[in-house]
Amino acid sequence: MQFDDKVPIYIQIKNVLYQEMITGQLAPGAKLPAVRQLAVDLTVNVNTVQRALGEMMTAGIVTSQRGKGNFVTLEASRITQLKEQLVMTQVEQAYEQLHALNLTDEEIMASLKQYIAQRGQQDD
Amino acid sequence: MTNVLAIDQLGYKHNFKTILHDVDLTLEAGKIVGLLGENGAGKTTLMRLITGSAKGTGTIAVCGDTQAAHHRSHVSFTEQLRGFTANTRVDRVADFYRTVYPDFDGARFEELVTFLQIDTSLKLAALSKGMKEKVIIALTLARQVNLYLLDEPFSGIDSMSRKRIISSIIKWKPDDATMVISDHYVSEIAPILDEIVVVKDQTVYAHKESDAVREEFGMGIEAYYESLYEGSVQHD
Amino acid sequence: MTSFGALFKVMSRGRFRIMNWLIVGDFALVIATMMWAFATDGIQAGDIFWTTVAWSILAFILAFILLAIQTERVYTRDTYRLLPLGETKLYLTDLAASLIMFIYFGVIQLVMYAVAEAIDNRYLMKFFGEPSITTGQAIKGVVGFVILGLAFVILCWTTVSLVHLVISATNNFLPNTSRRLINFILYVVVIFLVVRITAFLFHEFNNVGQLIAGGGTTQLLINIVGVLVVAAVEAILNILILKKWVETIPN
Repeated sequence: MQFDDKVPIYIQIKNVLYQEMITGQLAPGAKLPAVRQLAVDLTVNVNTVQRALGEMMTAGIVTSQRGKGNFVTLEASRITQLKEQLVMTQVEQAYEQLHALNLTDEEIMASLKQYIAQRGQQDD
Repeated sequence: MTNVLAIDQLGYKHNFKTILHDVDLTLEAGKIVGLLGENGAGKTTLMRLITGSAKGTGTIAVCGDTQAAHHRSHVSFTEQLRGFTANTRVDRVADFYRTVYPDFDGARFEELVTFLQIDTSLKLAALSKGMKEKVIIALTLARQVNLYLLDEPFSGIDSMSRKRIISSIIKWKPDDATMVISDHYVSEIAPILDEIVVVKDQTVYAHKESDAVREEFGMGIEAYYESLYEGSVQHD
Repeated sequence: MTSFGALFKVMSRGRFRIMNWLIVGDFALVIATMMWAFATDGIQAGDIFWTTVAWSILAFILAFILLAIQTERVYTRDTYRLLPLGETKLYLTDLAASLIMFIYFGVIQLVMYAVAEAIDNRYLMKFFGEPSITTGQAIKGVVGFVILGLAFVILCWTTVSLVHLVISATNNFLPNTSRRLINFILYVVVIFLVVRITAFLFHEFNNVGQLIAGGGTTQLLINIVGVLVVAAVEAILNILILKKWVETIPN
C-alpha cells in the first residue's frame, strides 16, 4: 500500500477501509483484521491504525466488542450514508475545481456527460 | 512510567570538538520515532550516549533511572557484533545473546529468523551487508525491553529486505515499548513514524508528530525534513 | 542482570578454544623436534624433557599475550559493554576468565612435563640425584612458585589494562597533539615499569630458591600479598576509569 506522504496517514487508513466497506469487500457486520495485522498489511504504525479506528468508532461505522475485536457496523443505513458522504465529497471537489475554471453549471454538466460518453466508446 | 526517555541538557565533545550541545528530548512509551539528520549530524552519538557507550554531560533518564549502568537492561541497541570473531556462526552469536541477556526471547528470535529469512548456520564473515543487518535486527528485537535504538538499519540494504525489516518492526515491537530509528533517508519509513526528531546544528532542532507535520504544513515528512535544512520552515 | 556464571561462560568459551589450539601447536612442535632429532643425531637422555620445557616457555608467553588481548577486547566492544551489569562485575569476570584459562593451560603443561619425564626414563630424578630437600619442602617450594607466578600474571594484566584504559580515556577528550604526548609519556612509564617489575621478578625467583633451601615461607607470603595488593589497586583504578571515561568503538 502506497501512501501520500502529504496527507495524514490516519485519514488515508480511514479512506482505505471506507472504500472496502462501500464496495462490499467488508460487508456490514464483518470482522476487521486485528490492529497489528492491519498495521502490517498496510505497513503503517499500530498507533496510527488505532487512531483511525478510534475515529471510525466515534463516527459509528465500526463497533468494538470487548475481547472479540472490531466489526463493521450492522446498520446498512450507516454505510449508505457513508457512501453518500464520500460521493458528495468527491463531487464537491470536482465541481469546485471546474467552477474555479469559470465553467457554468450547464457547462460542467455538459462536459461530464461528454466525458462519460467518450469513456463508453473507448470501453467498446 | 509514561516517559521512556528524558534527556536534559545533554552535551558531548570529542577531542575538544562539540558534537552535541543542549539536547533536551522526551519520548513517551509506545512510540516509533524517526531520528533524522545528515551523516555526521550526531544521530549515532546520541544513541551511544543513551546506551552509555559514549560519555557526555547532562542527564539521561531511561524509565526514570539516570544511572548509565541501569540503562542497559532497558535498552536494546543495534550493536555491530564487534565482540565476535569473523568466523563465529550466527547461531553461536544467538547462543551468546541467549546466555547473557535475561530478557532475550528465544522463541521470538526463531520467529524473526524465519520471517527475515536468515540462515543461522552462516559465519559472520560470510554475511552480506543486508543479511548482517537483518541478523542484528533479529537479535535486537528478540530482547524484551522498553527502548529499542536502531542505528541506520536500512543503509546499504536492498528494497525487499528493507520492506521485510519494516514489517518485522511493526510486527514485533511490544505495544508499550518505544523505538527510535535513525536514518538519513526518510521516505520509506515515513508511514510508520509517530514522531520525528531532527538533529541539526549539533542539537535536537525539531521534534514533531508526523501527522501534525502533514496537517500543519501540508507537506510530507521528507519535504519537511529537507525544508529544515534549506531553512524555509521556521521551527519552534 | 547478567549473572557471573553466564558471563564467565561466554567469556571463557573463546579463550578455552585459543588455549586448546596453543596446546595442540605446542605438542606438535615437541613431536616435530623429537622426530627431527631422531633423524639427525638420535635422541639423548633428557632431550624429550628439555624440548618439552623449551617449547613450553614460548607457549606460556604466547598464552599470556593472547589472553591479555582477549581481556582487553572486552573494554571497548559494545557486545560486552552493553550487557546489563555493572563495570565491576564485567571487569572482574573478564580477568577471572583469563586467569582460569591460564591455569588450565598451566595444568596441561605440567601434565606434559610429567609425561615427558616418564618417557625420558625419570631423567630429572637422575639429573638431580639424591634430593637434598624433603618432599614436603619441595611441594611447598613449587606451590609458592606457582602462586607467586600467578600473582605476577595478574599484576601484568592489570598494568597493561591500566595503560590501555588511560590511553583510551584520554583519547576521547584531548586534542590530537596532546594525545600523542600523553601516549608517549604513558609508553615510557610502562616500559620503565616493565623493566622494574622484571628485575623484581628475577630477584624474587632467586629468593624462592633460597626459601626452599632455608624453608622460610613468611617472606614469600609477604611478597605474594604485596604483588596482589598492587594488582588490586590497579584493578580498582581500571574499573573506575572504565566506568567514567572509556567509550566503545563506534558503529
